[in-house]
This record gives sequence, structure tokens and C-alpha cells, in this order.
Amino acid sequence: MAATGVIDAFTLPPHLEAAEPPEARGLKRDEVRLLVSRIDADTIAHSRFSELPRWLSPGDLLVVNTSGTLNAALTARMSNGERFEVHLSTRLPGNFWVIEVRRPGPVASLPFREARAGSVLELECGGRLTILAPYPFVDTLKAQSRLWIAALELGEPVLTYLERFGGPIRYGYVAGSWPASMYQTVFAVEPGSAEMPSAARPFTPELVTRLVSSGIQIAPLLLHTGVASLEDHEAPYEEFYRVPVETAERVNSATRARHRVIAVGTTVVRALETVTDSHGRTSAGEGWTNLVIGPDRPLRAVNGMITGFHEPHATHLAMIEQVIVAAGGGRSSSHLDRAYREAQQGGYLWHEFGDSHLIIGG
Amino acid sequence: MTESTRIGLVTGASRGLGLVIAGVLGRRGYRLVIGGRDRDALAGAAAALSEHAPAVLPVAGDITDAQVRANLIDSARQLGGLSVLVNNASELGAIGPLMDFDIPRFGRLFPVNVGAPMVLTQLAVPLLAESRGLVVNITSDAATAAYPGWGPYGATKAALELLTRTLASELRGQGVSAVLVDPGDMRTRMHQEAFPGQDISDRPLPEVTAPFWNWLFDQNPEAIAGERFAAQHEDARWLQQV
Repeated sequence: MAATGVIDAFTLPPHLEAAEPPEARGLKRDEVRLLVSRIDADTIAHSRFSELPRWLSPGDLLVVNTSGTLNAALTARMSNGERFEVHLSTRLPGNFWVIEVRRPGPVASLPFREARAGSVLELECGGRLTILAPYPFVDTLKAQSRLWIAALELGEPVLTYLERFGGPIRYGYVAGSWPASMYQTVFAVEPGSAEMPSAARPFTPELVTRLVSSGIQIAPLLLHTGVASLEDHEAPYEEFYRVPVETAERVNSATRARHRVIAVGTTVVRALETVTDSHGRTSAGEGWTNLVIGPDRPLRAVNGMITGFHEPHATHLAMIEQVIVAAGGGRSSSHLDRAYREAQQGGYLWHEFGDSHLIIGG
Repeated sequence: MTESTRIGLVTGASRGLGLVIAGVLGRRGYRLVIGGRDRDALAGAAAALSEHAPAVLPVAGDITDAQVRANLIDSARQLGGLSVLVNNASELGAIGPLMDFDIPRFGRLFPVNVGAPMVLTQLAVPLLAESRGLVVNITSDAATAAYPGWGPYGATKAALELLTRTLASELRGQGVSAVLVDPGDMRTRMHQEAFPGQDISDRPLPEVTAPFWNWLFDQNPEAIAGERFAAQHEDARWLQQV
């Protein structure tokens, strides 16, 4: 796999980590930079996100995730008074949640791996969280777990509670505390993601209008994304998705007409590919997906992508490698190595508040 | 076409004069297609230019390769058209007495310095006509003066000058203008190749021509069609009669 070079070779220098939203750097959302990988011509161009319509063609289909970001970070306290932060990752049926327990840190919270089944965490305003079992299930006598299944008792609807007491999940590379609106995309209509589906963050209503006027189609789906375990050598866990029948039909007709099917974000790749069969036919669907895209599972529907820049070792890089293969008509190449080298040399910014990468074929 | 949707194509833009011209266009808000042989240098130039230009599309390859020329024009079309074509890429060949010149080397020099800009212009004219655009061909004082040692290079530039002035009159009716620009001596890699081992630090950097390029791209192309400019002769408002 050609991505191995990238995954092994680069360490991300701190100055390439976007430490604040572009708005704080004096840019509009759509003024972030756009690295354009044209796989058919094997060229790398430099642009701005607001130029997106120029790089696409009429009939191309952008598929977006309409999941909204939860205020998923809560402060918590053990019965002994010790303070923690809890990240709600994934909502399960019956008020059960997959959660991560973290301890307070100097800038942002840090991982805490000594949580135990049976522990009770007290939340603000009488809320309670009872840790039940490691997730995914492991023998915790032999191995530590980062994620747990927990029962959440709040005494009021969870969204209302989170709006009152929760905050967006943030990591150490983001220095300041930014309002929840900074963590929502323009497409968000149904809250449920622990972290922002950030590939769509640079879209603005004005840009969407220009895309539509250029004949570019936009179709919605839903995938509630959990905390960023994919960045941490862990097997990706299950996430809830819903692909409407109208979106499935538009993917199929774009594929038939040889237009591009461009996933806006890794979550969209995961959801669309979950409902696409080995003949490349996409159906509507709803449920839980544990699909992992990689050399063993090439892409069937998606042949282009808008995404951010991902850390070394991220499972996402294996997915992006497959997008490059699909955009190149099935050929693998060293394009990703070159693109990431140029992005680093060109000072592109990483993470959810950073710059964007468009990968397309002919 | 407003300036915010203008597109410029510059060949030989990895470094030196070509990079300066592309930089001026980029700062004026032009989307850019840049050509060059050295893929890594061109990639670096593209990243640097993108600080100001809304879009920069590098096309690596030899300008005598028909596929490369087609890619350059297709790339401009991708960005939305073409308003300025700058034929800057050229080669010196060997500087030295004509009696020692290996005549078959014309077989490389003319295609690079004359053939490629002419073919690119042919390919670009349909796009240029839509935006009442401008072709800029880079020439040299060696085109008009008989400098010992500079004969072959000067001959290619003399040919380019005649063809450019002919083009300017032929294209007038189609709304496409063509001009010649002699940038003057500059401290570039190409100039160093002409004077191997010599100190050329008394020559100005190619950035010295930036005011000229800004002035040129302010002009109505049709008002200057067929003219020859000297980019370092500001006193004469850059216009140089031939």
C-alpha cells in the first residue's frame, strides 16, 4: 500500500496544527486553503475552498453528512471528589451511551484509562453516569479500555441537558475554548455526533448556492460520528447511519452518467459504502456500520472526496488511499505521499479547523 | 470577464522571470496555470504563488511535448478560460562563436523558443478571444543586435519577434492582442548559464520588472497590440520602437 510511506514517514510539526478556527485567523469559513489532487492528470494544484465550483463539473454529486455536533463534553465528579471530564461518543438505544472518561489537563483534557465497571460519576444538576462495561467488550483484568458503555440519567432530555451543561469536545492542539457554533457545519440538521464532521465545515450558504448554480448536485445522508478513536490505532467501532432513498438514487444515477460521486468527509464514505453492494449499486439504509475501508475493501460508490488533512497512522489515510485508487480508475499510485509532502511544505493546516483536500479523477 | 475571474498561463514559471510574472498576476487575483520542466521546483512555486492567487494549477513537462501543451490549455479551460498567455519558457542553447556552433542544435532551440510559443498561442486563441485577452512573448535584445556569441539564441528571438508582430496584426480582428517584452539583463539562472563562472551580481533580480508587469496588465490589450516593450526602461514608459 502506497500510503505506508506517508503513515510511517511524517511527524506533524506543531505549527501545522490548526489551533483555532479560521475565523479567528481573519478568514471566512470558505477562505481556508484547498489542495486539489487531480488523480487522472497526477497534478496537485493549490486553491481556496471558495473556488470549489471551478474544480468540479456539472452533474458531479457531493454527498454531505447532516449530523450535527453535540456538546458532548461534560464535567463529572467521582464519589471521592476527584474531577473528570466525560465525552459522550455514541448514543445507544435506551439511554445507554458509549463514553470516554478523561482527566483534566493543563490545556485540554487527557486520556484516563483507569475507569472501572460499576463506578458512578456525578454530573451537574443531579445527573448520573454509571459505568457498566468496557466497549468494545474486553477482559479489563487483562487490558485497559478507553471507551465504556454507561447508563446516563439526567432527569431531562439529553439534548436540552447538553445545551445547558455540555461543551464541544476539544483536544490539546486547540488552545482556546470556542462557542458550539464553531463546531457546526452548514448542513447540520440532526444533532448526534460527538465530534464535528469537519470536512463540511468550510461550506457556506453562499458557496452552496454557487455550487447549485454551477449544476453541481448535493445529496444528504446521516452518520453520527463518535470520538476520534480512528486516530488512535483502535479498531473503528460501530456508528449509526441513515442513507435516504433519494440520495441512493442520485448516487446511482450519477454513477450511471459517469459523473463524480464525491464524499464530503470520511463519515460519508463509510455510510455510502455500507449501503453499496459489490455490483456498485447503492440502496437506502439505516443501522449501525462497522465498515473499514482499506486495501481489503476498495470503494464501490465513491470516487472523489473532500476531506481535511489527517495525522500519520490514522486509519483514515488507508481510506483516502482507496479514494485515490478509485479516482484513478483502479490504479494505485504514490500520489498521497506527494500530496502530503506538498501540503506540509506549503504550510497547510491540519485538524478540524484546518485546510481542505479535494481528491478527484477525470 | 472581471479581474476576479481572470486566468493567466505562464510557461517557465518555476523560478526567475516566469515566477515573478506569475506572482504579479497572482497578486492581481488571477487564477494561474504555470508550466515548467522541473516538477519539484514547479510544485514549490505553485505553493508559494497560492498565497495570493485564488487557484494555482502546475503542469509539469517539456513545452515541446504536445501532450504538455494540451494539458496547459485544458488546465486553463478547467479554471474557466484564459485572459493572459505569457510565453516565457525558452532555452539559450550554447553561447559561442557561430563557427563553432553545432548547427543541428537549432533542432532543439527553434522548437523550444519559437515553435512551442506559436503552438500554444494557436491552442489558446479560442479561449483568449472570449476574454479579449493578451499574448505576451518574451524576447531579448539579442533579437535585434548582433552580439558575438549570441547568434543562435538571438535568431530564435528575432523569429519570435517577427511572428509576434505578424500575429498581432492577424489577430486584431478576433479581439486577441499580442505584444513583445524584452525583460533586460537579470540575475537569473538562465542569465548565469550565458556567463558561466562569471559574477553576475551587478545585474538586478527579476523582481525589478514587477512595476512593468503591473503597468502592462493595467493596459487595454487592444491599445498596445503589436508593441515591443523593454521592462527595465521605465523612463521611456517601457515602449521601445523597432
